[in-house]
Amino acid sequence: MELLSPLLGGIGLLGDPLVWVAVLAGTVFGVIAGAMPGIGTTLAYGLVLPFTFVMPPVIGVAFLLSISVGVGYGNSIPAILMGIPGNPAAILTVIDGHALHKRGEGGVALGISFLAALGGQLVSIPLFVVLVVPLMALAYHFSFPEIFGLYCFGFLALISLAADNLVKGLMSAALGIAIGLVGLDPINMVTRLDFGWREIRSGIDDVALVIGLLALSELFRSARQVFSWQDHSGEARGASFPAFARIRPAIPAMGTGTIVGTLVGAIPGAGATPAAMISYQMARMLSKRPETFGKGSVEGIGANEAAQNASNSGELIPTLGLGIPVSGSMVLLLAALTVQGFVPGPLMVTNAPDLLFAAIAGLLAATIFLLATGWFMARLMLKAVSLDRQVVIVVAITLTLIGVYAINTKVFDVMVAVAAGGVGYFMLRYGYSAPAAALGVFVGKEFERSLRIGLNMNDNSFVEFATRPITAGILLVALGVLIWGAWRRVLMQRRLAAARARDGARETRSHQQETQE
Amino acid sequence: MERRVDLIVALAMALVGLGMIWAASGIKSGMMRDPIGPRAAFYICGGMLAAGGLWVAAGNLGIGRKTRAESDANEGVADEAGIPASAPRAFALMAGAAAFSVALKPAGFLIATPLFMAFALVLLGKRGLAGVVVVPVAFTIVTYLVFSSALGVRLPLGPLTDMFRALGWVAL
Repeated sequence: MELLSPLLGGIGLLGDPLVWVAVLAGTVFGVIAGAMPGIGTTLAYGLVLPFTFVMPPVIGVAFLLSISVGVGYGNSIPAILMGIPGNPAAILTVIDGHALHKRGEGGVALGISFLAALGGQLVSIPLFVVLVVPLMALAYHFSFPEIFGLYCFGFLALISLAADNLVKGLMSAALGIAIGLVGLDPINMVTRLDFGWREIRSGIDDVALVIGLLALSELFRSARQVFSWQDHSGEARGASFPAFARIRPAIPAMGTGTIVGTLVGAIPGAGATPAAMISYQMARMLSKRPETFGKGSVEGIGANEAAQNASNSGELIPTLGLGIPVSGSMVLLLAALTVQGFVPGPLMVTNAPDLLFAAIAGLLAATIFLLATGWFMARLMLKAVSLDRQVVIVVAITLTLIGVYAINTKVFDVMVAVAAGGVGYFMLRYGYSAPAAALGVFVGKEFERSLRIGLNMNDNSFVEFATRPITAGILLVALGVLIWGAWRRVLMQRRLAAARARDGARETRSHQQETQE
Repeated sequence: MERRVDLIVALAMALVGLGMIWAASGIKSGMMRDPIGPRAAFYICGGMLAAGGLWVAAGNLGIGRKTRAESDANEGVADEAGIPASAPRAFALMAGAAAFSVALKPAGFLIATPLFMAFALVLLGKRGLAGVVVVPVAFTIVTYLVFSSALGVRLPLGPLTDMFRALGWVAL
């Protein structure tokens, strides 16, 4: 595929009015969901997933990706005006954006966030195409051993970079893979771990499991606390769009944020939050006024907002290029496609390039729509925060359960989702990685199948299997990522221990001084 | 993160792992032989769960590690600061959701859904007719219409099936 073809294909799809209807609905829903604290892209995907099953795949992909764009913009509004981060990635927006708002410069913060989010999204689309097309070309060199290597890399990168605790991350992936393997063995066709239950003889529905692990778990966790979003006050009255002179200092930071966001977003397990943090630090290092960061820096807002939105395009690179979902929302995107009959893997988009065109069309149309309406929507979206939090949680749980039922009209799937939600609750609370478990559930069968068929192709020799050049390369990178993740944790623990020792010494000194006095 | 609960969760994971290994030993080999076989994946996953669970449990009991690092205490998603949190409330909601899934077929969507929602809303502190009755009933009716008409999903009707059939609203 040539570099320009996906862009032209995506632009061509914009002529379809149905794409626009789906994108408008998705973007508005995304902005509302983003403006509500605690409802990120993954949960927003979980809520609308059943609706995508009745859409043609192209429309469904465009719809889901427009939600990502909406969430990326929506979460900055309460962050700036109320100091409430819609999701962890918006915390940096709170630091600088809310500081500007408190100084009476809310319009400046909103304007820069608006331009950075949309500019970052727009520029990241060609970057995504430039990176995904060569990756898709590589797919022809991938057979079962290489696919096994890719899955290994996906798991280890997700665990090493995103999990709180490496051991718990590995346990989460193991649990997910094991659950994903329940049912018929892909080689021998014998049933495995079905305990005589007819319902799970051919496997447990992976979409129900993934929705439970990623969406219901977060809703159950949210129910631990009862409070109102309205406790925080904010208003956008009188906020006017900033003059170009005020925006100009943030433009280089937006550029850096876009590139960093796209690249970091493509790393399994990284996503919007590390992308925003790395861009923020880079912008501070390159800034002529680093002292303003954290106190209302326009460069800080520009860098992290651009990075957050650019990471939407970045996440799509391995998801569509190699069939490896790198985040919870991407697992759900692929889950929606499997319900439509697609098989996730390196050849998925090569065989169905329309999916890539749809992704570009969704991102592009949502950005154009927000460019036209986003500034006016900001004020309107504050109403989303005035919704009753408790009602939102209950409605979201009920809608998710009905959505799960709608997949196969099976009550058993609803029970599975609730059970997975309960397990996911404990995983979230105690540092296990729910996304790693969801990835395990989703690709577990293919993971095992690629190993067993790959071995069969290589005379049942592990040495031949692992020394195929591409497989060996991928496995070495995966191992490197695991070692780096473990080393990073050791360094962090040493730093914490040193800080603890310093604090202890300081306390002892002050105690001695008090005693002497 | 409460260390006691972390210990219980870790031990539960270890137990699941051991149970998985035991259950996998009963899987039939099948006709076609390959070096991995149908059991190996469960042995590996079960082994990882058992060993990992025991490792985390040992860390919680202060065995094998000099100090429990502060980073471990920061694991997991924390609650909002300064607002009381209730684990029993979350568990009650899970139980309610489980009861809803069990009741969905016999009671039907139109009866089970508002009851579950009313229960969940009361649990989360909502009071009054508007909050506890109007929201669940309105949501149930709108959702039923969207799913059954727009999405073509056949939602279970329970005892209302005959009435809906007689009215010609469903063709079952």
